[in-house]
Parts: sequence; C-alpha cells; structure tokens
Amino acid sequence: MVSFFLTDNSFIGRRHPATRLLMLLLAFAPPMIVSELAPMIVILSIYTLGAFASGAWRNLWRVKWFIVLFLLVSLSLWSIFHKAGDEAWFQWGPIAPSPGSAAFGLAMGLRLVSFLVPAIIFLSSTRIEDMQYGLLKLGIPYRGAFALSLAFRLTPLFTESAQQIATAQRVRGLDVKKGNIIRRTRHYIAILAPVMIAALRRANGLAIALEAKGFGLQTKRTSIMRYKSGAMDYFWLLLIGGLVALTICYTHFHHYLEQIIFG
Amino acid sequence: MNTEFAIKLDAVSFQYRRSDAKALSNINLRIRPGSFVGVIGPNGAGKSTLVSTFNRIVPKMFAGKLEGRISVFGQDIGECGVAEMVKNVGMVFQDFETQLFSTSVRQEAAFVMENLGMPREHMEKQITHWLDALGLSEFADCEPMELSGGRKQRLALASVLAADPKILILDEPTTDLDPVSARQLSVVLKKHSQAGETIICVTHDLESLIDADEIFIMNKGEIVDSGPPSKILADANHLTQLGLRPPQLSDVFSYLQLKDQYFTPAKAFAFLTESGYRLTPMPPVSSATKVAGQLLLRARDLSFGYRRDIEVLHKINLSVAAGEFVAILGQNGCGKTTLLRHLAGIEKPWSGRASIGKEDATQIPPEQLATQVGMIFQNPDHQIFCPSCLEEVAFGLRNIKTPEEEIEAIALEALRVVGLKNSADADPFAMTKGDRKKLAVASVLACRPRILLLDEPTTGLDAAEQQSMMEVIQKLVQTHHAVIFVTHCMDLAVKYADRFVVMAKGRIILDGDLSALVENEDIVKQADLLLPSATALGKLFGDVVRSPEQLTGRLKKGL
Repeated sequence: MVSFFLTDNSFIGRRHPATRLLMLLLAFAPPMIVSELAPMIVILSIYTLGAFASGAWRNLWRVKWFIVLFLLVSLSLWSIFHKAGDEAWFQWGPIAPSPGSAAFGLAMGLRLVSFLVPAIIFLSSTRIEDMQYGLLKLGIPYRGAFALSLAFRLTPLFTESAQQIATAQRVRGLDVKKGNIIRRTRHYIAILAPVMIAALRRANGLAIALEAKGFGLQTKRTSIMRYKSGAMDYFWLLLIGGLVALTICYTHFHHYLEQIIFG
Repeated sequence: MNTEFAIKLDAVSFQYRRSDAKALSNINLRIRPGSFVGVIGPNGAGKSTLVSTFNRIVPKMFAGKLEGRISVFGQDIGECGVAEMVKNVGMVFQDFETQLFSTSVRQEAAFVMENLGMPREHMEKQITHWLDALGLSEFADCEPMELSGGRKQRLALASVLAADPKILILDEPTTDLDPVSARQLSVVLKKHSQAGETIICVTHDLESLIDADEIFIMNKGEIVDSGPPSKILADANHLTQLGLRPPQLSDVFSYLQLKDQYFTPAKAFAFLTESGYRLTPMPPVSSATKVAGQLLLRARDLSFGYRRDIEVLHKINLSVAAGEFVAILGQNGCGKTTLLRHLAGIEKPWSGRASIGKEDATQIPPEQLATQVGMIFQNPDHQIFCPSCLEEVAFGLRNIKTPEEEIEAIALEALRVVGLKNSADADPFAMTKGDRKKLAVASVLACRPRILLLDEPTTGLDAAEQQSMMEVIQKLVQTHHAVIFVTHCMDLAVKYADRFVVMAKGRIILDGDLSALVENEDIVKQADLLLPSATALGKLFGDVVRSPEQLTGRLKKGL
C-alpha cells in the first residue's frame, strides 16, 4: 500500500473537503508564527494528539525516520551556525554551539515536523478526489485542481510500478544492496531504466485515457460526491482559527506575560 | 442525425510518423447501429489502429498521416477532438491498467459520467448496476490498484459502460478474465447491442464472437474478409493461415470436411452422433513416457494476506517434481499469482513453508533463489533494459557470478532454446511482444533454474505466438525442468499441461490430471472455468480429449 489514505470515518474525514483544506492551511500558521521552543512543543503536542484521535498515527509511524532526520539535520545545522548570544559550549572558528542555538535548532526541527503532521492527518483522512472537490469549492478551476491532484494520484502508481520492476530484477539474481558504491549504482540502472520507460508509457497512456474519458469537455462537470457543510465544520474552523489567534497573541504579548509571572 | 451507419469509413489510410509502411491501407467499412461487430487478425494487422480512428485517438494522440473520411452517425469527425467523441464513443483499451487512476472503484466508475455532466442520481444508479453486473459491488470502496488483474479489467469496462456510450469499442477486453467472466461479458455485450448500442470488439478469442453480427478480418493494414460468424469462423484453414486460433469446434468440423457448423459442444455432439461418428479408444500410452522426477518444490500449509483482515491463500499444500508441467487455474482474484510469488520467495507467508530443494523459500530473499527458481512476469518490459538480447540474458548471469568467459556461450544457448539465437544483437524494444516474452524466458533460463514459474505467459500474443511460446515451455519440461504456469487460457492449459491445480477463494480445490479436471464438473464450475469446446465434446463422447487435433484423429464414422 503506497497511498496515505486510511479512512474518512474520523473527526477530520467527516468534515466537508473544503473545510479540511482550510483547516490544513490554518494549521500551517501557528508553527510559522512562533520560533521559540516551548510554544512549538505545545503546538506539536496538539497536532500529535489530533493524529492519534484521527487514526493518522499509523502513517506518522511510517514516516518516523523522516521525522528523526528532520530533527537531527535541523538540530546540528542550527546549533553550528546560529548565534544565540549566550555562552558557547566551545568555539571552533566561526562555529560556536550553545544551549540557545541548540534550542533554536530543535525548535526549527519541530517547526518542520509541525508542518508535516497536519499534512499527514489530512492525507490520511482525505481521498484525492475529495481534495480535488475541496479545491473546486474553494474556487480553483477544474483543470488546475485536477493537475494538483494528479501528483498525488501518480505517486502511488509509479511506486507500484517501480516495486514490480525491482521484484522482476531481484528474481534474476540482482541484489542491489551488494557491492561497492559503483557496483550498487550500476545495479540501480537495471531498475531505473525500466522504471523510466514504464513511467513514460504510463504517463502517455494516462494522457490518452483522460482524453478518451472526456477530460476537459466543455460541458458543466458534475460530481458523484455530495458534501454539506454543517455546524461541526464551523466549530473546527473556529477552533483552529482560535489556535492561530492565540499564537499571534502569544508572539505579541508573551513579554508582558513573562514580566507578570516572573516579575 | 443520419443513423444508417454508426460508423462509416471511406478510403481511410494511416501511416504512423517515422514508419515506412501504412498501418491502415484504403479501408472502406460500414457498421450499422446496434450491431455487434468483431475485428480479428494477427498482431500488427492494424486492428487497434483502426478502432482508434473511431474516437480520434488516431491521429490526435498518435502522430501520423490520416487520409480518407470517417463519419460517426453521419457526421464527419475530421475536426473533432478526442474528448468530444466520448459523447458517442466509449473505449476500453488493451492496456487497461493505464485507464485506471482514481483512488476508489466507485470514483473510477463515475469519472466519464462526471465529465459528461450527468446528474448524480443517474450516476449512482449506473454505478450500482454496472459494478453489480461485473461482480465488483463488494469492492466499491477499494483502491483499484488493490484489485487483481481480472477485476481491474472489469473495472475498466464498468467505467466506460456506465456512461452508456452509443458506440462501445473494446480492445482485447477478456485477456485477464477467467473463462466464465469472459463468456458472461459476451452475453452482456450481445444484450447491449440488442438494446441498440453498437459494439465493436477487437479480440484474439474468436469463440467470444460466436454471437456477433459481423466479423472483419484484418491483415497488414487491410480488411481481407468480412461476414457473419457462420462464414468467418467456419473457415478454420483460412484463420489458421493468418496465425489465428479458430474456435475449436470449427477446427473439428473443417478437419472432418463437414459443411455444417455447430459452435456449441451439445449441438455438435448431436449432429456428429446422428451422422454416425464415434470416438475410437485412446491408443495405449507407453509406460516409459512418464517417470516421476526428483521432488523440486514443496509448499506446506501456506497462508497469506496482503491485508491483515483478508486471507488470500489458505493452507496451500503443493509438491512439484522435475518434468511436471503444472497449470494453475481459477477465477479472478483467487490467489494464483500470489501463490507463484510465494514459490519464488517474493512474498513471505503468514504461516507455512515453501521448500525449494533443501532451502526454505520463505526465509531467503528471491535474489538468492535465482539459480533454483525462475519467475517470468506477465509484462516482459518490467525486466528488459539492455540494448541487445545477448546483454539482457548476460545480465542475470553476471548477477549470479558466472565466470565472464562462460557468459556468452550460456546466454547464446538460452537464446537458442527460445528460438532467438539469430536475434542476439537485436534491440529488445524493437521486437514483437511475443519475442520480448521469449527473451524474458531466456534471461531467466540462463541462470539454469530447475523450476520455472510463469504468470500468464501468453497474454497479448496472437495464436501463432502463443503456440510458439508454449512449445518453448514444453521443451523445457522435456529437459527435466518443473514448469508451473498461471493462465486463463483453458485451450492452452488443457493442450499442454499434464497436471491441473484449480484454486478458488485462496484454496486448492482440485489437484490432478486432465481426467480429474474433466470428471469434476462441479469443481470446474466453482472455479469459474470452462472446458475447451473440443474437450467438452470429447466428454460427451465419454472420453478425455486435449485438443481438436486429438479429437479429430479419433473420430471415425460408422464404427
């Protein structure tokens, strides 16, 4: 299984597709606004809870190594190059990692993860056709919405094709993990060449099939899907809107808050 | 609207860009509305090109020079785009998988109707009807990619049929369907044409055209003959000369030089017995012809599913010895390909074990089994990437560390076995699909596995290519290889295989020789299989027959 969709029977999946898209866009705002570690942890915790509540945690688990990679790369790069102004652990030329720069690096890593988690929640509970439907309802022209959804449609198709080709070569004794880097690269050609050919054929076949199925006809297009937005859609939009508002307030007023709390 | 002809072609010729020969040459054709028309011919005859001109895919999507006039319901379509044609013409492609791109079966079935702006209620009704008619109702919310090949083909059909096109073009619509589904489709199409829809079917399965109104034979870009099935399908010699496989009973009647033609075994039996024909006893088989070989493969209690909640294989037990030619048969989605993938070590079972010699295939990656088991996939293009046949075959040999000085000789020998020795320097991508399949066999064979697994080895090949491929495989069996192949083509399975493993819903429900298959009518029905016509006729005579040749050799008058 290569697509991310799991179920639309969740508190996110039951929302109107346009609501889901708006929720996703709004969810990107809080991690964009803040850059400190503490609020970033709060935001990510809320999103992670959302992932568990919507059942998207299974997909989060699938991408766990990407998350670890994001965090490690961000932590090491920012720790090295960001000047936080506090006392460095050590100094080596321009490199002077400090607790402040490490905290900033971690916050930036968490920011990336905070973008990733809502995207995964969205993809886990939204079929590609629902996404396209939502884009149309938000005023995107049909051709544009379809083109955008095509990338998501084609990824699993190409991945499946690549898996079939890799299997066909493995039964001929190809072990891609064996040998030095040059030998491995040569091995990958045996997979990549047929994959490229298959991808080109598939893309060509898809273009023909789309035309033959009436894509782009000038008639007014209808949809098999029917969604009605309800009170819950507004509730969830307000809730995430509230989170955005809270984040904005925090960035403007947290100095006053700190003064009040810590004197 | 002029409705005298649904499709009318006047002096139509077409030449693909960068091609020296014309793909279509001076075609004049008339198809009446509501008729069920078959288009037959060897591979490369121009059948797909011809039907692709009816909805403008040729020349809009395939560049070339089109001459002549094509009209659909009296309207010249010379200026139309492909998408505009969908209002009148629906098409199911030979490569049906490229036609599927939605994320659910239901969405896929709705796509054409959505583009045509049909009301939602009508779409719901059509989807329910066609998914039910084609046995896909229970998969309505599944992803098309999760379906078996046969179900994908049915979905491609449903997605076009649901939009109720006035003209329906089907390019090889039964290649991946089990025999019963293929026959059911013929009935559905006939009903559709009786309801006023024009059906045009390109196929190598000539028996599926018995109910057609007219059949056109194409060869080298021309229509060389046309007429009703009683005329076209009855001329078995002409069909054979063109590289086509005539309906088996047509073959029988032609051989017996009988003018009457019956295409159903029951009618043929009644006629032949009334005419005084009897079946002579089978000549005794020499005891030296079959000796049980060394046991090469054993599967014990294999169970598996791609998803935790759906079991695809259930406690499969199977042993295969050297020199056995085993056909795995069964309905679409019953687990045939999945079983092959386990025997090749590609999939790891939930429980059970598959032993290849002394190795446990369930514990070893497939690359380490290459010298013991070779698997040839349905699509040969999934493995071909080298610029010459020789290099393609040599690739596998290098993978298994064959000494460099031996590689060329072994590769040439493998090419000789499949009949491609003279094509050693040829570019694989310039060869026919039949030859590319043979190249795939050679490239696996070069690693000298004792067990060969073939998934639908004859799909997409014409009769001459199919026979050539099966003869290659038969030669391997004679050289003490064990061959296990999955197929929907009952004619070829019955003619060549000596053991039949019938599967249904992930279980083996029969494992025996041809007599066992012929005698167990219930099992044949349960697995959605149909005995080939000659075998069914032989059964009515009270005996087991493999092929029309065998039947005609034993039918004698006045015994």
